[in-house]
Amino acid sequence: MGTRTQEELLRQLVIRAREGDKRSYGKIFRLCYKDIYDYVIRRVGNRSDAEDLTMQVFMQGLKSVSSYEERGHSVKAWLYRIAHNAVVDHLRARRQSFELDEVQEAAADTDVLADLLAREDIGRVYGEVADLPPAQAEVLILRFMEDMSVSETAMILDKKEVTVRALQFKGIKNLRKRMEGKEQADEGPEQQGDGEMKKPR
Amino acid sequence: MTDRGEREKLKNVEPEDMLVVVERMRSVPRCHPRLIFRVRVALCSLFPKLAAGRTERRVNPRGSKAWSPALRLAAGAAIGVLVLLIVFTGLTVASRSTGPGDSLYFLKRASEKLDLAFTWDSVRKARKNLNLADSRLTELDHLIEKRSLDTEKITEAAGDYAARTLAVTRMLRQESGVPAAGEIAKRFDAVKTREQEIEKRLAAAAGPESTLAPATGALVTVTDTSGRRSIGPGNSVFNGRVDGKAEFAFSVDLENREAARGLEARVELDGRTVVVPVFPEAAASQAGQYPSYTAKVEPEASIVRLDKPQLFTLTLTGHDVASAANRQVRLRETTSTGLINGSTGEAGLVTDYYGRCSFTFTKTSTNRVSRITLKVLDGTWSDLGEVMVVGGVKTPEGNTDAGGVVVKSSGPAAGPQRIDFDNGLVHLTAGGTVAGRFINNITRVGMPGKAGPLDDPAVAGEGGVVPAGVKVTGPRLLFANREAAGYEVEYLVPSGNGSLRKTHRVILEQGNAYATINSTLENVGDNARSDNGTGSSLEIVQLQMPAGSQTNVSGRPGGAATIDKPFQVDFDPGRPYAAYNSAGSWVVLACPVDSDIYPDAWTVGDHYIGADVERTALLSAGGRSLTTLIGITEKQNIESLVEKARKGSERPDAAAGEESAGDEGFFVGVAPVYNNLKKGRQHVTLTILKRYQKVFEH
Repeated sequence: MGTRTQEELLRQLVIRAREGDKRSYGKIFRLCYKDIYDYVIRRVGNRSDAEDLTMQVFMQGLKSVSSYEERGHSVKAWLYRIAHNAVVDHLRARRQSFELDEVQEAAADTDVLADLLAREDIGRVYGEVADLPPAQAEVLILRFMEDMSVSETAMILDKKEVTVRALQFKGIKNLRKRMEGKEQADEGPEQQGDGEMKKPR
Repeated sequence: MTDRGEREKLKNVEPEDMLVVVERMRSVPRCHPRLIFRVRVALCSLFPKLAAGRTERRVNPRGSKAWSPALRLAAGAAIGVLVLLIVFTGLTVASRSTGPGDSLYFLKRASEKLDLAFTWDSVRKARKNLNLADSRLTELDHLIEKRSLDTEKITEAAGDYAARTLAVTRMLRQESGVPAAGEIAKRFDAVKTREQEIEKRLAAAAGPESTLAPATGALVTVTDTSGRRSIGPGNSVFNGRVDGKAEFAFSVDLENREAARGLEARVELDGRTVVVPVFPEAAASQAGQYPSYTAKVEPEASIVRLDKPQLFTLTLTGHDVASAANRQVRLRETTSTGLINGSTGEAGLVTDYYGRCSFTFTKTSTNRVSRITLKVLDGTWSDLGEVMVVGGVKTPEGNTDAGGVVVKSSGPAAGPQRIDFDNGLVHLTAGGTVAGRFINNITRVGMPGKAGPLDDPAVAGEGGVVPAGVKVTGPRLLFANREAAGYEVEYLVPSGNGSLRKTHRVILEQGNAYATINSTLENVGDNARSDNGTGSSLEIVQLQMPAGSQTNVSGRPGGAATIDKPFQVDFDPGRPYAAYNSAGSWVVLACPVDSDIYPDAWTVGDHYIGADVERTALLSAGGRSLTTLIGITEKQNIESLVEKARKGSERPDAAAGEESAGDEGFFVGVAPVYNNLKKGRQHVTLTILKRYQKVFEH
């Protein structure tokens, strides 16, 4: 029942925040920022970028909360949507500058989720998700790592529900193939070194 | 790709494969922000205006007034102190509602410690300690509600709870004469009672797979009981403590692999002690016990219907609890006459902490006995042979002599009869024209030369005619989980507002010249369970709740209500629950029952599955009750919810069994496994975990 209670609390807070109560908005963010941060870091793969983007989501949400409209989705999903847009902008900008600054970028990425990768198996799953086509990866991350429903995922990504389901299906299928391939490779005579983190897209 | 094409593809996905991938994705832990970032968020969220201002300033910097350096310094210092004060006070207030794992929780704990440190009066201090102990229990309660059963959070709250209660115990012991001691002792008892409730909830919510936590700090002593080889650098005893990763490592010089037989590990933590062989396989083989597993499949005498899956539980028992836990097993049906978990041939399963796993068996063919064998992976696959036999018997042919048939139940003697119970097909033939009952209360000779249970004198008239309104179903073939088979006939007889269901089962067992009969009478329409007389299985085919039945839906103001429309729901045989879809939401109906599979204590309520269930409803009629869970959106949740509830009801007994076996709640794993040991110096790592149930000190 915990999730439901939190959702009700968020709804009450957003009503007050919409009327200009900034402290209520602050409380909303305090309740949600860990999830937002988790989502953002999975997408951008870099701690300092994730922190900056999370704060950007905070500011963007603060600006637009007055025009927030209840459309059958959770308050958290609304923040996720802001986060998604921020991530897309960020990744687009990063791609443009990537060629110019490739070395620096790669160095920055080495600290990505190092603690996750310490657990090889889990790190492998994350690495495989990050290696999927971006549209599939973002659906899988939202659906199974952030526990968003299909309709919420569709709202966040601005896609139709049927598209989300199709991407989810393809993503799982791809992921299963990759994981099976990897497991077979690992059963070989020598284990492949996997010390390098795959860069999320 | 068209929408239809996608949908077709989605339909073809194998759910199990999907679940494996999805579960692995879900196992990826969350990324936790750094402390400095948590503080930054806390500040900005407490003072959004400040954060907005800072950002705007960064974008459009304003010019500052030309203050003198001294004035600027003084003003800066004053503002700094003021801001620090405001921030500290704000954060402390904000931290009051935090729990373990929250960013400001450390502030809450720090302020509590500060408060305790400045409390000198022992009675006031004891009261504060009691309040804090109660707070910790509330935090644990919230963690359980949120299903946030992270080991660190649980132990953080439980650890402080233990410290607070210990302080109160000391105060009560040292100052038992003070006037307030009675009141404090009374409150202390209340807190301890609550502790027991929380502990039960914790155990239930954690589930068998999640109940293990690293036994960090446990003292481990490894000894060589044979005294033949050295452990560590020339010692025969090596001891140390379990590290934060739940590991304890040591080195041993082995003359050969068998030399590891005498190694024993003694684990001590929080007053609990367990002594286990480091290599149980080696110890067992030394004692001549290998292979040391025994297996039991329950229920032993359950009724299996053709093409209907029936749930069974396999319990693996090893030389100790740990050896049967989390084992890979393979069940194989060798005669191609049945399905295990819906598949032909072989099925792979993993036992839980208690050495158990569940599977379904579906009898698909009448022509042979189904035989199920078991293998256990313990380094290599150990073959335990046949663990289950289902259905199919063959009686001696030409049994035409009345003396050869013994009617077990009393009643008039039958005439010469022949029973061909061959490969699951039933043929009953009475010789001559002798009237009489074949088996008491079941049937009589209806026509010369034939006998059978199809005309029940209790239902049909003397002429064997089924009266109008009576529905007869059967005979259905049945197979038992032993070398036996039979059939079942069911009558539905209108009676008052509902109906009477009469079920007759005839079972013939290998080696017996007589049939045994189970007869049940069930009042359909105002109850939700049946009783087949043996208690070995449950049969609810249909449940009807008539208009006027009482319902009591959780959260509904005004309490119980009366339903105005009758409803009907079909149950699968052998399972005391049914599910149906209502406006896109799955509803589970579940009955408390007496059964071997579903113990009496079995209930499905919001206690175990609160987060997944919107409301629960208790329906009752005629003194019987039915629990209804409303608002489940994913069908796949239903099986797991019921399974979870079932496990929840089993756990207390299972736990009690382990305690008596001296396991004391530790799990000890070892690497490398015995089969991979080599001559010479070996580095051995023990993984030692403790169970959540022991999170509280007693």
